[in-house]
Amino acid sequence: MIDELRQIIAAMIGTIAVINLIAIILQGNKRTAVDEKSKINKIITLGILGGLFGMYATIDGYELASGAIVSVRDVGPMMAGCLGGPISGLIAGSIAGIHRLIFGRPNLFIGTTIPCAISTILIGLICGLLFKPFEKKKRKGIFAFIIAIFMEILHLWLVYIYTTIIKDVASAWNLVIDIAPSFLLTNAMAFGLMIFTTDMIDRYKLAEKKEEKIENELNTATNIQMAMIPDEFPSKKEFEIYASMTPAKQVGGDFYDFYFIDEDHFAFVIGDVSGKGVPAALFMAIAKTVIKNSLKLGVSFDEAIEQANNQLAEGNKEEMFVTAWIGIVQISTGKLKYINAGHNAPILKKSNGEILKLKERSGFIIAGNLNSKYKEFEIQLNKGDIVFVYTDGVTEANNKLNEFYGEERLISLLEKNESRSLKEICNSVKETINEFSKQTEQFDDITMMAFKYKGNDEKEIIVDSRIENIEKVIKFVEEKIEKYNCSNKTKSEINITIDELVGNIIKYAYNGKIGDITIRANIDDTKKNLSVIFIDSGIKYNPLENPKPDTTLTAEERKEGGLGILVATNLMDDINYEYKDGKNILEIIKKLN
Amino acid sequence: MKIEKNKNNNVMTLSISGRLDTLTAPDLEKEIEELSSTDVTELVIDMKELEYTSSAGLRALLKAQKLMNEKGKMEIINVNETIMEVFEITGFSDILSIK
Repeated sequence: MIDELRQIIAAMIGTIAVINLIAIILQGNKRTAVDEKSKINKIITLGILGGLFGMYATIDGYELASGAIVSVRDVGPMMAGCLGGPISGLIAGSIAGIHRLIFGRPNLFIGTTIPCAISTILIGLICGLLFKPFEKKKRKGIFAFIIAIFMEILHLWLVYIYTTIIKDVASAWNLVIDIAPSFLLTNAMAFGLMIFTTDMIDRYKLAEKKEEKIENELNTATNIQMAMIPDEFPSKKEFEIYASMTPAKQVGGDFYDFYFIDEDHFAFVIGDVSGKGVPAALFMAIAKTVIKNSLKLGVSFDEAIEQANNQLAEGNKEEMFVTAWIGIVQISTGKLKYINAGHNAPILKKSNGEILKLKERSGFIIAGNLNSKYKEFEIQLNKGDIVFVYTDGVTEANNKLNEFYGEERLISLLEKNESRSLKEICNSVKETINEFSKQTEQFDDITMMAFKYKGNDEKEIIVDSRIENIEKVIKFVEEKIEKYNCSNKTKSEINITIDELVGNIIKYAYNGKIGDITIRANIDDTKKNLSVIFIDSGIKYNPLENPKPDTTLTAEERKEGGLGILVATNLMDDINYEYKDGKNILEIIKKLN
Repeated sequence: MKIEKNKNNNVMTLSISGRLDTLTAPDLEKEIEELSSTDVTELVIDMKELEYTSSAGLRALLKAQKLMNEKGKMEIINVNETIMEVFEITGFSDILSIK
């Protein structure tokens, strides 16, 4: 009997395989998959499909030695019922059952046609009633196997009863014994396999959907992150700025940022968060914001960064950190203050082509430790100087031979680059990195920012009457006369005079309140005369009318005061005053020797 | 502006670097005020690293001279051309002991 069983299975494998294959193909394709259809569509499709499977199985049945036919017809309605519900099962069972009745071998009232047809329909209905529990099962393949066994037991039982009625118990029993093993085994195998494989396909599709969803969310995250990084670059007379950020994955941990802290101070920041991808991107968003808020607080530069550090270090359980370089440039003077928190040294390309590295380190990486201290450094930018900052994604870009792009290449490129446009400079850096690391996957976020100081071309500045602003006026005039290469003596004389005259206005013009002082500087190129005009709208006062202090008195006899105008008058070539439209207008003239 | 202090017995040397002007003069005045309560009898002001002084600086120097005239003496050394010019315009070259 084992032998015959082997033969039966060998013969039935083909039918089982075809049905399974069709089921897999249909379920694997989005358009034909059953779960993608509407409910009614699904019910009808499953019903018809089950019916067709049943018909095919009937046609491909295997004739036993005894003459009985073994087939896996019931698998059709089983599938329809379990996957589609009672109506599906009924449809499939009816199609397959009626087909068996009319076109089966034997048919109609011969042999076991009637119980077979009836059981096919019944099986469809019963499986349909099992639809809900079937849906919930995790190991559908095994459940299907067991259902098939029970359904075939039902089938065999109906055959037994029918044969008992039309023949006798003994014949019935013999018949059932003959066909039971093959019916049970082949149907259980067929249905079990079909459900097992289609279930597997469903799992894969679910995973794919999840992946797609995550992919979509990542794309949205990318958009959000890119929106956070400024891509519009302010165009000002006094400076130019350009930057770019290319993340290695969809979202990155690098950032750059720039903003005005006040009218005269512009900050530009570059940062690199440890790691890549979503965790780095999240920390990047926080770090960027905290730094900006701290700088806008109005506390000193180093204090602002120390506060930012503490805010980011607190509760930093994932131990993330960020290296950052922050620069604040005073627009009217070109003075650049900067703090380097563990970041790579920026490159300064001076207007004369000289290349410098701003090597100073101000302190530890940000968010590394609580209470880290930071020190600010200062450098004077001249007209045409370019500060180039970048993250290590630039210098550590690697090629196939695992060599690094390196600082030397970057410096050499910046040195040779003749371009005046910052955008072109950054693009050329990016191009050379791409060339260098061709065919290698980008390992780290690549970010760079260039800042060019163009100088203050204004012939006039307006400052508050505060002592701190005397420095501003001095720098303003210094810049104007720079190209005339005066002697140190002349420069000092001019600076002293500015200190005297502006100092007087600050002390006396506005009677304790704060007012505006306008300074105009003009140079007569032919005569090389510098003219500086000081204008205030304070108390009407002509300093030249002041009685000159008696410079012959001894120390004890001397009073303090009145010396400022005396010094100014003597150091300058000419000095004059007028009162016009409610303003004190004081002019000094000095030959630029 | 930076002020480096060096005390040797009763001789105090103040080395001023940078610029002595409206903004920085108060720092010098503070140093002079602190001197009054000490036992310093000789004050040397070294201007080697000083770029220039405006009249604001002169006020501080005048205070110093008046104070040291009572306690002992004061000397200003290493004065550059521009500083000397200001001293002369204001007549301070006669009041201050300049070497």
